[in-house]
Amino acid sequence: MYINAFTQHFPVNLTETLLIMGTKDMQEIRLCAGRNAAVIKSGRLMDTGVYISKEALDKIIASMCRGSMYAMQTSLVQGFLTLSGGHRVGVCGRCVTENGRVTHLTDISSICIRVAKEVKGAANEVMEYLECNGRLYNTLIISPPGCGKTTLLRDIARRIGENHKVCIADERSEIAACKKGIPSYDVGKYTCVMDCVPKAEGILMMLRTMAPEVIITDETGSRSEGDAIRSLVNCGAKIITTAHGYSDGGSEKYADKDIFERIIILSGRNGPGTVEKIITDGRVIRRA
Amino acid sequence: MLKLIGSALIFLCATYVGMSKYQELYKRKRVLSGVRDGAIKIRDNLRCMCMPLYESFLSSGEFFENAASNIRKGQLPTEAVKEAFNANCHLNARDRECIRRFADGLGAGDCKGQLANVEMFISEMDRCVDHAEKELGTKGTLFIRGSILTAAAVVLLMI
Repeated sequence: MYINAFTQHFPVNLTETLLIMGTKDMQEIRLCAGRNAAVIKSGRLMDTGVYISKEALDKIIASMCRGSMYAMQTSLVQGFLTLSGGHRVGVCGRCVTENGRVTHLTDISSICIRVAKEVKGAANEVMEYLECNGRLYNTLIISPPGCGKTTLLRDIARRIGENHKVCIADERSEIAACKKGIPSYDVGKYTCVMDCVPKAEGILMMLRTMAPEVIITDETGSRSEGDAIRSLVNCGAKIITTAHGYSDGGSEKYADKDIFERIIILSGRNGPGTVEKIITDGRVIRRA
Repeated sequence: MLKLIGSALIFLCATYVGMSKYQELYKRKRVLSGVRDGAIKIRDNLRCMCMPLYESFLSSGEFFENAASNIRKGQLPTEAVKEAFNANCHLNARDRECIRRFADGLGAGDCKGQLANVEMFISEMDRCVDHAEKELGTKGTLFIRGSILTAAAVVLLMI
């Protein structure tokens, strides 16, 4: 059961409470030192009634890091760590900085576990716009946090990876959730995964060495990532990626129209993965 | 005839006692060498890959594998290492104190801190192994020779 990936680190009373509440549709678990644990279930924030002390939170973190926090410092200084199964754990605490850069994260005070799920078929609604007669399109998926971008991306990789050479630059081990190099999720027969790599570097590495038809990556936005994507497209490969934005905020106008042939806008209006709009060549071709 | 049998038994028992003492010293040296070699592998894993302790222990020899199985049961690395070595009866108090100090520095901090902890442990283990080798050479030889001579003396007296 996927929930074991994080409940194995929890105190018994919290695990029992979560099982009683039901783990179906559980999207997030939020633990703050000195307060009750909370969950987001079917979009609603709920108090579990289970008190989490500082000592309990320290034990949970130590267990998640398997007693080797030093080995997780690279991701901890970015504010997260990833559990097996691709569940991302956001971490808050006290930052130790040097020359303006975060070098350590200590005195961890709260964590937020984003529950990852594999939903085969999540991409059924959008596949006809991404691939047509064997031709793939550069695609940007825009959505607010928690609306199923990564779940959709994972299923897109699985579908496209059945017939195309797909490479995934999986910076936070969320898309494929690789364990010792083997993806935990089905990401496609011909899909290669570069795990724990900064996206810009990963894109350029795989472009040079893996002869991809399409590269898939999550949450792009920085200048270096934009430059890497431009290099990729100039070399004839395709990109499918995601970005944060809102369906009613006109976020799509910030997308580079010279690169992205398809823009898919998601929301959580009817649950995660609700497709609000699909834009092709500047025209809205599908609306919810 | 009985005297002869009795003498032979005394000789064998005395020699056995000497050999047992020698074996204890030999086993201590073997354990400490194994621990030091394991620590060297852990250091290399840290240096090259910043490997988590559980994975590192699995490939670092028998003694650290026992610690790894304790981690698998849910113990933190500090307790796991202490428990794995407390169970080993060939180590003396000084050896255990070295290992305790090493275990207390495990898990926290950053990779450089872990590396410094392991390197300090390796140099302490080098000293312990040298000490064990010297003891084997001096005390061990003394035990064997002493037991054989004592046994021979008793046998001669009896005869």
